[in-house]
Amino acid sequence: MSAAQTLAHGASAWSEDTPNNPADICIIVEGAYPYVPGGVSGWIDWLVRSQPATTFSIVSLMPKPGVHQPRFARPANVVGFSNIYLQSFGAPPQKRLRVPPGTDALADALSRLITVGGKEPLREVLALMTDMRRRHGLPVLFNSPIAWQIVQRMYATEMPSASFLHYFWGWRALLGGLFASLEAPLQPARIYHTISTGYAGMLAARATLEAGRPSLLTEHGIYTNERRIELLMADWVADTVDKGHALDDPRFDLRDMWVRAFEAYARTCYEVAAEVTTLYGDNQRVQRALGADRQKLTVIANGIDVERFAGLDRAADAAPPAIALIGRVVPIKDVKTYIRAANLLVKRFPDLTAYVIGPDDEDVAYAAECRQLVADLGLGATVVFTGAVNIVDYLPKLHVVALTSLSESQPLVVLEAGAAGLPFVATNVGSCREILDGRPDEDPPLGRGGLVTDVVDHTAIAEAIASLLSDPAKRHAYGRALKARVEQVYTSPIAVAAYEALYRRHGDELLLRLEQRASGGT
Amino acid sequence: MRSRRGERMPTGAQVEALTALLPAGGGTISTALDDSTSALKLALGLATAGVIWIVVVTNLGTSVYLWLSGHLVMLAGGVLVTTYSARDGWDVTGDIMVLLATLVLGPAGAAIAGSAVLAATRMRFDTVTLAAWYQRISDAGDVDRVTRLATAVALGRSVQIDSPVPQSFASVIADGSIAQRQNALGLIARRFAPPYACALRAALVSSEPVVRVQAAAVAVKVKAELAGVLDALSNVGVGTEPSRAIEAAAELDAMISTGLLDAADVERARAGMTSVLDRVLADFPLDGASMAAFGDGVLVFEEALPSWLETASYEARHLIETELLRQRRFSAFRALRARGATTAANAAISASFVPTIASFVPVRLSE
Repeated sequence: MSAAQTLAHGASAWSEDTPNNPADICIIVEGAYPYVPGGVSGWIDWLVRSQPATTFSIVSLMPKPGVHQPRFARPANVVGFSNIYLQSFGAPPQKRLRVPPGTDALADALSRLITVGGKEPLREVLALMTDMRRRHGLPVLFNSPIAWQIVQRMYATEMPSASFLHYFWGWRALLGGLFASLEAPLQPARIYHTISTGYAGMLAARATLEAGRPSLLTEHGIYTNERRIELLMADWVADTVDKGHALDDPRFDLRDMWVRAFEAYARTCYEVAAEVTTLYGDNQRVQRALGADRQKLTVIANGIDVERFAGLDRAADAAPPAIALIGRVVPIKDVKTYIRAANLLVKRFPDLTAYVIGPDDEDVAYAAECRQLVADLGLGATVVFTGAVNIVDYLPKLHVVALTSLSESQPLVVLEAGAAGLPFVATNVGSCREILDGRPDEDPPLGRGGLVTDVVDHTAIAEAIASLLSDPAKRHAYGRALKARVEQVYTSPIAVAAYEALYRRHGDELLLRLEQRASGGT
Repeated sequence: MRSRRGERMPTGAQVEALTALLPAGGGTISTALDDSTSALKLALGLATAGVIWIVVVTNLGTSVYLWLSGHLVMLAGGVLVTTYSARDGWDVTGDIMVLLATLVLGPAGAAIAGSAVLAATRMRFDTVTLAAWYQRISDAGDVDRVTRLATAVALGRSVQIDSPVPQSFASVIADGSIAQRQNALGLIARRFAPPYACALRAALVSSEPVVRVQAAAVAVKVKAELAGVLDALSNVGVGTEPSRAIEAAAELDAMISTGLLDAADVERARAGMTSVLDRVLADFPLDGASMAAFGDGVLVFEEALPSWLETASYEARHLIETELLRQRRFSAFRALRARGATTAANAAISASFVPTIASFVPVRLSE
């Protein structure tokens, strides 16, 4: 599994198509594959390509229509593909709709769905929307007196003390994504596999309720928590109720509406999903806290093609020290902290080269800030931005690899560096500690594969890197331990077998149900 | 786009999106006719067909019964079209108006009703009126503070002053639930102030991954904001009023105390603070009271005061301390001295002016 391996700059556009026969698996993904490079996209590409005998459909949820350039070539076993745009409201209707009698019931059901969530509220909303979807299409819900009736009623139910106008715009954005997920034509498939909760999760849940097919959920990061963090920090969400510094003020405001809606979506997705997998055990605590049934939770770790990295040369001890951060130049990778750490390191290792290996075109402004920081600190001769390259060409030049991310799940780059026998310095995010130190039940213990530091602490990161650069024996020992752990736990064949088994488990149940149905059983 | 008072102004698309929803609830003709394309088409069709029919009938010279039957057939067609629209759930108020007018006045009625529909539609989308309406409902107009507060209280949107005393962020981060900790970090991100830094630093090393991740995101945001503030404060211009300059210096000092600045930025903040204070003393001949106020101001500095005292001119330190003594504010004097008295020079200064307390008069720096 490697994003760098399959990343195809300028890959040709993916045509939208629906297969005549159901695909074996329909992957539903939000804001990633095939348009946005990164861990999740690379993982999906790996998942599809590693099971060539299985057919896949891909449903890609993106914010708005526009020119989206695929960053991956379309695998041969992808038999269907469609885009869904979450913030596309359609044109106002040519004629004015009357408000039908069931509108209040629909508003109440929507309120329940976005505040409480669950299978039954979703089923109710789908049933109430059926007639409207058939006759007019859901865009009319944003541009008609029906919408007016619904938004007024939901406002009165949910947050009458807050500003209506702010509520209106929040409602429009929030339900825009929901309606898009509930209206879009389904790709026919035997199993629906969503890679997050949120709108993708709602689409998968709807597929299960409407098509009677099982849905699976694999969470890399916890989507609900990521949205919660964004929303709690966001300046664009107006605070229309002045809560001062109270943390438990029960009055419902826009920020609460957003957060609660994503929690409700997660609850719905968890309840409907037949099985919920994640990459490492720590995530399961959060999933359970969000309402996931313990019985449905499993862990399937990432795996990589170790052969690709196993035979790589190692940088000589006598060579000028070289380190790298491998990842996209985006804020979540906290590249600035890495640069500041390099600034401390270069005082001790004047001939240091600190690579930043990864595409820098996703957040151009942030990449420019990073370059400016390099210039401000006078590190032009030390920090090298490579852009998107094949990491196999760079790993043999490195002594230590670092990751300064603010948030990760199970970063592939740690596994890839480990497979190449390189020690790692990572912040204490996601499963980095588990990968570098080993699970508590590791038998036999393989030893440390690197060092873990606090986040946003460039001094600690610099000290950790320095301790490895200045001690070749320690560096080699850590590299060997990490390589052994990756080969033992995190290989592609192990991960592929786990996903094949997952699909088989639920595919078998599906076949059984179909057979029962055909023979008149229940 | 923003109004004079800084509120965000609606874009054309926003106004259109909202007005597209205007309800027909009031039952007024103008709102019912908002989207009257179908009524216009119907009116145009009936009027055109009617005129053609009149011309044909007149040229053929046939009876009035044939003329009337054509009229009825066209009306029946209109009713049929309208019925189908109604069955599909569309609002047919405009269509019915057109049909009624046509029934009474024939093609002329259709034309008149169509014109009325068109006029009503045009009138409805008067953008100036719409923008004013949007401004009114968005509460973006000029409203005085008291009215705004009264409205907030009446609507239940104001601070609940009878609610329990909020916990300190530091104790929430240490002992609160995950939701409380996340809410506290959200507030820290949105309304950062230097005293929150200790809570943020504690969150960064929390044992709870969810809290740690959020704290990291908050720290990055806050650091970026601090860097911007540092740039602005370090360049407080020549001639800045002493009170503002002391405020700026105090902000720089507080920034240093957050522990969130890099070593280089700490140095920059310290240098900026020293420069701001020195500039004040150089630019403004302070009288005794102002000098004491200046001393009070710098006393609140947590981090950078000792280093400033070390670099500040003898004259400045002398004047501040002297004025504090003259006002018999001995505890302030002792505090200042305690924080700055690290060099032998301090002792010398102390010895030189303490005996002169009784005879001291307010002094200007320029004197």
